[in-house]
This record gives sequence, structure tokens and C-alpha cells, in this order.
Amino acid sequence: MFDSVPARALAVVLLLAGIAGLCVWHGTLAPNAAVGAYPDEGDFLATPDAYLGDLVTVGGTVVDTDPLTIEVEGATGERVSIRVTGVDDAVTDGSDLRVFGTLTDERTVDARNSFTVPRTGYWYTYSVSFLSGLWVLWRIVRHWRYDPSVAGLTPRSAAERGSLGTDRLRRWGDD
Amino acid sequence: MPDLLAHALLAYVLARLLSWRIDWVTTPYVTAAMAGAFIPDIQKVKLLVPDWRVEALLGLPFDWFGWATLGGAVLSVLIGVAVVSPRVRWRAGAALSLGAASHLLADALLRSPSGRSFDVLWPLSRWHPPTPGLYLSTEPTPSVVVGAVALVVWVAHRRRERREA
Repeated sequence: MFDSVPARALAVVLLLAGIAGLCVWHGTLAPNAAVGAYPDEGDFLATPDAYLGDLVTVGGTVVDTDPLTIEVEGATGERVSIRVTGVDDAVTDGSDLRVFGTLTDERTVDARNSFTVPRTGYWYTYSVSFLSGLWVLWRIVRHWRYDPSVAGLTPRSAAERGSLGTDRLRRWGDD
Repeated sequence: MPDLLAHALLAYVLARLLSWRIDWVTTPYVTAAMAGAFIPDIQKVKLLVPDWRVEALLGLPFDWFGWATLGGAVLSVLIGVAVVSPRVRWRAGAALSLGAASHLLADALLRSPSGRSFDVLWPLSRWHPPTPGLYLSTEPTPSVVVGAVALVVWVAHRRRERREA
């Protein structure tokens, strides 16, 4: 079942549609503190009155330390400033502050818990993740091949993998 | 977990250890597990195309994060199952699932200000499990730790292979 090329192509299309459907569905979910799904800036910037006094999560770049202010992305990508009170730790400009606290007015959160993420951390993560992507892509090319007779990817045998490159490449590719 | 390196290395360690026990888990399936470990992070395209842009385009609510849940991972693994040769379908599906599951589990341990993780089992459940907050997604520690384990496993595997040869 589902071995023919048209059936498998149809399956891929339906699965992609299913993933898009999941993303739309996830977008319709309302906050629900009972299950730990606290409202975030996307929720309380849209309808602040609905969440005043409630516990919310918010994260953004520190643009001012006195008074402590972070900038978050609004509903259409615009920058919105949020005041954060109740943070005792030293916070530096430009770092990323992630906050859990009470929405005391429509643009102010009184922190119950917070921590900062240094900017450099993101560069580390993005570059290392990108290189990891190349590494795994390289492994896929070395360990799998496209078999036109079944129109699908198929594992290469150990002998095939060995004949792909030089000894040095084999050492690194065949682990 | 944090960066994709840690996720890829974690999947490598798990799949390589299984390959010592299960004959059909050969190197290509170890690689498939590592590819599966990338699945939940496909939603990072949100950095290039934010949710609000897609919403404007579709006229519907949209949240890339739906992809980084159990439901998104299952559908993505099934895409992998559809594109491999039907002969190796279930093996590839199992390897991809192992990688994707290890990613979701590692992400559920990430630090969060509310102490609650994300809806990892969605759409089966909306529950956000409590997280021990072991690491941030931006620190190298998990990659270093898992990398050290992966190195030991890699060396051990090479010795096994030489013994068998």
C-alpha cells in the first residue's frame, strides 16, 4: 500500500497540508494558565484588559535599565516597549530578558521570575546550528542515495559508502 | 536542547548505542536519526518569516510552533517515510522518530521563566510540563557534555568495528 509514486507524492502533499493545519490550529489556541500556557505579549498587547492582574510571560531586548524597559515584537512586527518592575539582578542593555510576572498595566509586567540571555549566545547558537545542518546533510549524501527504480532514498551499503571518497573522508563519514 | 549540534550529537549517541544491539541499525539509520533530530527545529523558519507575516498572507491565525510539537513531529516523520524507498520505510520511520523524540524531550528540559515547558504532546494534550530548566538554548554546555559522550561512543564503535573486521 502507498508504494506507487503518485500515492506517495499525494501523501507528502497531504502531510504538508496537515502541518500547515497544525500551525493554524496552534495559532487559534487561547492562553490557559491551568495547563501552564500563560498569556504572552502577543495576547496581552492585543487585549490588555483581558489579562490585567494575570500572570504572563514576556521576552525582549533590554533597551533601558532605568527604568527597566524591554522591546518586544508587536502583532505586525512593530517594536513595542514594555516596562519591567521587580527585577533585582543586574541587567545590561542589549541582552535578552525573559520574564514571568503579573501584568500590572497594559505595558508593565511585575516580575516574579526572570533571567537574561546574552546577545552573543544567539550568534553562538545560530552559527553552530548552521554548521551542524551542513554536517548532517553531508552524512545524508554519503549514507543515502536516490534510487530511481523505486523513486525513493535508499541506504548505501558499507561497500558503496567506502568507495565514495578518499580514505580520510571514509574515516570521518563512516562513523 | 539548545543548539542543533547538541540535538544531532544526542541522536547520534542514542542511535549508535542501539546499533550495537539491533543489527539493522546501520550507519545510514544513525544518520537518519540525526536528521530526525532536526525536525522540531524546522519551525525556526519563523526567524525569517515571522508568524504575523504568514497570518497577514493567509488571513488566519498562524503559529509555527505547532510544528515543534508531537503532532508536527509525527507528520514530518511520515513525510520522511513517504520519500524513502518503500522497502526501508519502517526502519527509516523508526530512526527519524528516535531523533525527533530525543529533540522534543531535550527541549522540554530548557529553562523557562514560568518554570513550565511547552505543549510537547500537543495536539494530544495542551499540558505544559514543568521544566527543571537545565540549560538555555544559547549556551554551549549541552553540546560540550553530549559531545564528550559522543566522542566516547564513537571511539568505542571504531574499536568494535576493528575487532569484528
